[in-house]
Amino acid sequence: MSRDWVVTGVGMVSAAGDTPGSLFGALIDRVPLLVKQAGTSGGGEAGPAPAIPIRGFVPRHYLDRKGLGNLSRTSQLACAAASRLAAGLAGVPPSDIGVVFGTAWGSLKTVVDFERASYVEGSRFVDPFLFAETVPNVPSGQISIFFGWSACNMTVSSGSASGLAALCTAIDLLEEGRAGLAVAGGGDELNPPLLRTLLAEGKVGANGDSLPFAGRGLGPAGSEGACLIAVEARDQAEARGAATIARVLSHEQRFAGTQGDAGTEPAGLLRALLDRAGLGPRDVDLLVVSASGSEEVDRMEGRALLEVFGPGPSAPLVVAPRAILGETWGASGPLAVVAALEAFAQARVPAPPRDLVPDARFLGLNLPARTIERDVRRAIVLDCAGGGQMAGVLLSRDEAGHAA
Amino acid sequence: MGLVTPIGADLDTFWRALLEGRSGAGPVRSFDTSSLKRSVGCEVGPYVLPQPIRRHVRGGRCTELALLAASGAVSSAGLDGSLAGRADAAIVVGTTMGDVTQFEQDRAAHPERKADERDVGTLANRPLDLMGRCIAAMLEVTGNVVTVPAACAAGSYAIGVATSLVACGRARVAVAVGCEAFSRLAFVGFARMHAMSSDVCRPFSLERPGLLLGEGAGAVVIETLGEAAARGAGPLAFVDGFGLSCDAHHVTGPHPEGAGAARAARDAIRRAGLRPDQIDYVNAHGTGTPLNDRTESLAMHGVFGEGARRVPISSIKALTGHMMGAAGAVEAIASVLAMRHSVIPPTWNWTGPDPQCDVDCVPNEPRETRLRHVVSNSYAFGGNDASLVLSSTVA
Repeated sequence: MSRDWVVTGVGMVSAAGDTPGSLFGALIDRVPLLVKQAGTSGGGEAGPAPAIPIRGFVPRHYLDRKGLGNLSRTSQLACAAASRLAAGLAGVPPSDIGVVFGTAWGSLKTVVDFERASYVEGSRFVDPFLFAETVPNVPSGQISIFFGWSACNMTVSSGSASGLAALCTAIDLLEEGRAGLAVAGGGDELNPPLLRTLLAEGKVGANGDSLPFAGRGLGPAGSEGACLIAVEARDQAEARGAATIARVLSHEQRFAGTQGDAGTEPAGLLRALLDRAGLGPRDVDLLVVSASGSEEVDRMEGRALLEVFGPGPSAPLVVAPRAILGETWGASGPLAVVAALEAFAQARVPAPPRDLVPDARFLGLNLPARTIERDVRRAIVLDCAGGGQMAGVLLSRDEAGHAA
Repeated sequence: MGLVTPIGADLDTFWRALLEGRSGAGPVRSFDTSSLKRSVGCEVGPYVLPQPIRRHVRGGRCTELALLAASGAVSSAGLDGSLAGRADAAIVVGTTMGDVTQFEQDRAAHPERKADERDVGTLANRPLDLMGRCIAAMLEVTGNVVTVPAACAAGSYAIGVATSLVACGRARVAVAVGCEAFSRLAFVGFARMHAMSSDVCRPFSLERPGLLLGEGAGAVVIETLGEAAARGAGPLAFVDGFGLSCDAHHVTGPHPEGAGAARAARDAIRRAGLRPDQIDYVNAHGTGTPLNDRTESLAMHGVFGEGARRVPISSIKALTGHMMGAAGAVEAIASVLAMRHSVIPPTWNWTGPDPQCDVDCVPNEPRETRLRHVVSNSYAFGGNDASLVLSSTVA
């Protein structure tokens, strides 16, 4: 990369809270966040399905603006997350700030609501605001409108890797000089119809037992949230007195294909991340991965981790945040970045759920049995979506004056 | 380059339609409009999906159009079969709504049924990134697959992002696709916003009743000149600049002075290493709505200053309708064809000047002139603004 890109802010809204500390606390505590989602069935004994919604989310707690009620929940989550980092961007002209937002779904519920209203109420009476919110790039546009960030605005959709793909795209845009600071990440809403659908198709787990690498194919619990990361050049951050949280050493996106398609394994992406940063497998302390108990993703990811980093205790520690946080699609990758940033800051690595017994294929992965106190200097965040989209970033703890 | 449009599904037919003023407008066939106040749109005519393409269609009409255009572009580039297994080949897809046709057909069959998982499920099974994945599967590409749902600017975003991937070395070849299927949702939505004409689209005319909705797909293959030369291929045009900006003003309406649109065009021209007075033609976003054409005219005055009247600015949407996610890609292709034929496709259906659109909109007659550098504009909901600078291969 041509410049030294650093993370200078995080804004998030998640079921585990709206601060990096609360999120990391949930991972350390391994406290299940599951609730029985009203309006669904398909859970245990066909009762309400387990899910991890953000309980008590009130947009007005984050944004004192009119019109919040007209926004889709995805837009509300996106703007709320942006509000959490906006104050930290003082000194950067709004016209120099670009937004890149990743979303897997946009707001499907709004699409369905609009279409139905056009039939039931009549096309002349449907709410034009509702129409705007059906368009998938509108959450990103709403962020720019709310905060005046006008350098550029882009939406990226790569399934559950959307948020990390957005972060990768944002760094490309920064390298091209399209913005002086990028607010990048993503988010998606959860609603009962989407949850029911994904349950029926096995894309989220019916029991809430998200056990990464357990080989039981249970899948993650459905969740929601939004998470945005501020990235800018080190010299700019220092000039405006912003704290630098971490460095972005490299980033990469690939397509793994789906069953029967052409494709590459995530190992290629991991090697590319290391090569671009001029590092080797032993230089990485932590792997924050997307494994969630889904057979397809866990198999692909686990095999790649073992291939590139090898088995055993000398390999980097592995953390799988979806085990606790669930699948938040557009937010998942950026929330995994937050987990890595907190591991840098707290020098701790959380363990997977207590009842996890890895499948024999994954016994070589260095999954900590309990929270480990360890100096974490470099981490790879990897996101592999079920559809074959992959994104990754290699981060280092910021140690100004020290070589990464 | 490859395309599927309401006025032609091959480059030659499309180009002749632009010069002859053959419109794709007609009564909407995709859904019942009897309960709607509007009934005219620009739809793609019947097409046949060859079996090698059909077997990769996992979605509906939007995916079909995207695959057809991508296949055409790869063939015309002489790359048939040669992208297989390449991790240095990328696919970049722009769309507005993605593949919503099946959902709309299901919903039309049970309009009063309460929204449930069947509706959401139909949509969730056709996610926004489906088209890109299907194209990657068809071409057996293993590199990056990017989906940029940038609404009505998505086609331009796709070309710009693809160019950036190649320019920075993250891909050696990229297929950029803009695609959209005719959608009841968009049809009702634009009508509800009073942005849609009942019959004809008249960009830049004083009496302009609004846009007509369209559909289609456009695809281009992007590679470096060296890469093309190494395999004996000649370039059709150069993508010299890609400018981005955001209005940060209103979710559906443009900035009243076209500030973001002007910034995007200036950015594209600057990145091309050009001055505004070196631009020979602007292919406008030109939707035919009162608001868009007025603000786009203002924006171009902001870019070209006193020379604004000198630069021809035309819109092809009078014939194609607003193809939304496909528009930017198809209009970039029209711009390339204009340079290669040294003819500006006119703004058809023009009926008289609007003082608020003080531009030379090339009304109703093709204009022969040498074109070296062209700007193609695209604007979208969310305040997304994009401009491309395309340059002729003839010095």
